[in-house]
Parts: sequence; structure tokens; C-alpha cells
Amino acid sequence: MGFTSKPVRVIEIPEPMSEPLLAPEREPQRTEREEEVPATTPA
Amino acid sequence: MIPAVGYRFWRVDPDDAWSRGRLQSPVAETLWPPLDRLDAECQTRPGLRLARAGLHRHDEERMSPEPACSCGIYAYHDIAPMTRALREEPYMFGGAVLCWGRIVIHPEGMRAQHARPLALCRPESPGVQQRTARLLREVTKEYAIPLLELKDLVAYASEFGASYKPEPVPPSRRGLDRVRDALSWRQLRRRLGKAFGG
Repeated sequence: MGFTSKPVRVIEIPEPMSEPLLAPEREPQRTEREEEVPATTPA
Repeated sequence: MIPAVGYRFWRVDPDDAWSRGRLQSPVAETLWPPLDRLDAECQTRPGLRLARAGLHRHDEERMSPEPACSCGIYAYHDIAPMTRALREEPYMFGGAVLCWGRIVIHPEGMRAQHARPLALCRPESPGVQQRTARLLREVTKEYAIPLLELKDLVAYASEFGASYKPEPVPPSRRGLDRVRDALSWRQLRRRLGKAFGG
């Protein structure tokens, strides 16, 4: 690919707000309920 | 301003174990990351056919795409140049991309700072379809994008952004005047007179 013509315009477009296909940038946080579950030891 | 929609093609090498299932830029050999955006990086170097402005990849103040250079992520405004290119090489697939960031607009297409694939289009030839069906399934699954018929690609892509194709430049007034003068009755009579020795 390559263009033979000269550029006619330069624009700046902000990053799209909704990016459903992009991978999440951070790990999903643990919920409060998960944190409250006490560790159980096998009998 | 909403993101720009463009059309381009990628190579997918079925025999390369490392890049199999990945979209690869046909010129720069960049692998497009699945489920993420691709960021433009100037890879022009002396001797490269498309290099125009020399090296600026290590110049922090000049990001890619640089208007005076040839770097950036390429996409056509229209689907036709993409389909023409697809007929030339096997394992070259077309599709739509969404572009944003700095966009350098040319009459035939654009060079973008960031882009991600939106969809791939199914090859038109039944023979190619059969030969590449499995490979295309792998690619579309890897990137979580649909495989569409060519006729549906533009409508689908338009849901995500807009075309920034510039309006065609009208011929200058001076040029029009010149044409009108050349076709005027007086000019024609003078030329006919000269032609017939009048």
C-alpha cells in the first residue's frame, strides 16, 4: 500500500469512547463478598 | 469527531507457525495485535521505496504519521482499491479498519496513528474461499471480528465511524475559462480558417 498523492489535511480524532473489542487494561477486581469469605481448612 | 473508517488488506501466512492466524501488514510486515489497537511507528529507512522524509522514528517530537513522511497505518477511503489488490496475491485478505489519533488524509486514503480491524471480507472466488476457509475462521476468532460478504462490509463499518474522504477538487476557474475560450465560436472559426488555408 502506498499513496502517490500529497496529503491534503491532517486531523486529530480522539480515542473512541466505547471499545468493546479492546482487551481490558487491568484485571477484574475482586468483589467485597469474595474478600469476606473465610478460608476453610479441610476437616 | 468520530473515528475514521477505512479499507485495507493484510497478508496471513498459513505456513508460518509464529504468525499464523495473525494479520500482517503487507509492506512493513507488522503483526496486528489481536483485541488491541495497533500504534503507528515510523519504519522508514534509507533505501526503502516509500521513504520520503528520512528517519524520524527516534525523534520524540515528531510522532507517526508525519505528514512529510510515508509512515503510518494505511487505509483506503473506498473499498475498490482494496479489492483490486486482493486479486493480485493469494493469502491476502481485505477488510475494514477503524482509525483515530493523528490522521493524515490523502485523496485516495489515510495514514493513521492508531487503528484496529473491524471486519474481514470473504474472498469472492469460490476456489479461494474453499482454500482459505479454515485460516479465515482462525483469524476472525483471534481478533473477535466478523467475516462478512464484500457487499456488506461498508454498511457494517459505517456503524463504527465515518469516511474522511476529501471532496474532489473542482477544476480551477482559470482552467474552465481556458476550455471555454478554446471552444468558443470565434476560436473555432479561426482554427478552421487556418486549417483550410483561409
